[in-house]
Amino acid sequence: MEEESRWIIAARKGNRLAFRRLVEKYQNYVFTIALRILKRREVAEEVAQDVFLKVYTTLDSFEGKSKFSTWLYTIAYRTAIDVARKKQLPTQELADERTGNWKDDFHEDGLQRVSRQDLQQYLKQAIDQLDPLDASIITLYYLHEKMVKEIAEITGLTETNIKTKLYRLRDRLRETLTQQLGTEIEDML
Amino acid sequence: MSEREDLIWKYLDGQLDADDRKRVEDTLETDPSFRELYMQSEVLHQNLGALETEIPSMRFAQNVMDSLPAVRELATGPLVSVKWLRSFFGGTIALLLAFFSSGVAIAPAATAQENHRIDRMIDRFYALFELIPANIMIMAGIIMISLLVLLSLDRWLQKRFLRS
Repeated sequence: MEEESRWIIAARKGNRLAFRRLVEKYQNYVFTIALRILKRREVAEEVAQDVFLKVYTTLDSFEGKSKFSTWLYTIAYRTAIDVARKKQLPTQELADERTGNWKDDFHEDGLQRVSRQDLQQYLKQAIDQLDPLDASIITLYYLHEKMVKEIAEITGLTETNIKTKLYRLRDRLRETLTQQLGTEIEDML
Repeated sequence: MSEREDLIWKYLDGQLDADDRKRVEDTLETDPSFRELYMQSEVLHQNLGALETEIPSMRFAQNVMDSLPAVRELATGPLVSVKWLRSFFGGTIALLLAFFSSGVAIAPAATAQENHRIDRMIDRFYALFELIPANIMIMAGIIMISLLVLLSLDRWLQKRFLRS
């Protein structure tokens, strides 16, 4: 964290190497948020790049009251949600793009054992089918150390609303996965 | 969402007090359907927590860095900060005041007829300027006007860039 503070101070003074360190540290997180919301890699990458440009130009306005990651994810969330609203991107596209129609593949081979890696792949596809706001809440919760307060700060929703949404969304994901995978999911324990 | 599911998520999120945690653990021992629901939820919870982040293209960081030069130098703020501007104009006003005060002190004494105090001070101020060579006054004027033009241009360019 101290190292990160030094990078921020140096980047504010125009030190490009320090800013590059921040980009390298957070690029996967920002890209993940953008991708979960926008569902398309090329659009998400463009938006993630735009997020870092915004961060660079407004770094002076970061007061350090919240964590840098919270401030950064707020910019990422708002930028991606804005783009999703303007472009009205279809939510199914990335799920199909990942592995084709995985549900049909699974049913064709009912005896197939589900590895942890497979389950994660199915999970990502299930998240991709959520609408942008729901997908971002699930992503931020598990990406951001499960801090409901900070997710409320990022999204502008109340903490109670976030908690309720999380219960409901995870139930929906659990139902989707158990429908598709049946008892295989319990063997994962 | 049923109360059972609600309870399981709160348990997994660590939001229950000791009594409720005990209640969940007891139910897990005695109720197979609750245990099944719990196991499914726990698998989901663990796997969501273990989801790897997505990775952008290899050139992502470089692309970000390549797009920076056109932005930072112009958009971070005016070339001359407000602090420096305040210091500059404050200093100039202080100098003028000091100049005027010393002028009053060293200018030739007023005649007995010059009894109006303000008129007397203005005359002394003009008398002081007469002591300074004209070319120095012109150069100082040009420098001041140039500074004001450049500062205004800086502000205008910054506002224009931020708008775009």
